[in-house]
Amino acid sequence: MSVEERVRTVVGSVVEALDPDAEFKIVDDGEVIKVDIDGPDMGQIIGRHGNTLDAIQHIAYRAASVDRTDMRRVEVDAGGWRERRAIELREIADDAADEAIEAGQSVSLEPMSASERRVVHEYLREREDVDTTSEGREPERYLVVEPLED
Amino acid sequence: MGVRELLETLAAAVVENPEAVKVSEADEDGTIVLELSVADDDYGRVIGREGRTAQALRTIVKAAAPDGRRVFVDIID
Repeated sequence: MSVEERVRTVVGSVVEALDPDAEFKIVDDGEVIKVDIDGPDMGQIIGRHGNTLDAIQHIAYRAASVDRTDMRRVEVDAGGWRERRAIELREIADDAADEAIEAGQSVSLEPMSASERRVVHEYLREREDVDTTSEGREPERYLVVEPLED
Repeated sequence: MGVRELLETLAAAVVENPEAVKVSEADEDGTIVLELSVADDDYGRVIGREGRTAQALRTIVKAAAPDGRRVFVDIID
């Protein structure tokens, strides 16, 4: 079975069980396997704070990489939720970075999932005036933004 | 697709021996109890690092529970 077929099996069964009205498409650009689920109401698929969506993404990734020959990333989104959430997260990240610089001390963010923390880490990596680390244990793991001395 | 078939399909997708995946379903005081068993070599794959894969399977199966019923997933060895 190809990697795309494995991902299709996982997402297809979840969509059928959770929201039979939803549809999905898979785009493999050679680097990331992207799955977009869409339908009239994505609430059931997304779950609280994106919990269900993250779970679907994790299982799809584990299925795609089961024979360990292909370890590409798998991204699963529903109704553009991840992209909208990423815009919010980048605003939260910028606010925290500005606050850390101004106060001259570290600022802790609310607990976030691994995929959300990655969005913030990658975004703030572009700023040279702060550093980011994660602290605490799942599911309460959170990000700390630290000002860098210039 | 019911929760039993869903768990079976997802577990089979993440293991090396899909033919060994078995899920039984029982009703205990209204709670759906699913017992998952896999090949000896595959327990690590359904549990995952820090239990993440098992947690993801539980999250999805609970979201698919009919009429808000409680679902309990037990991985037996």
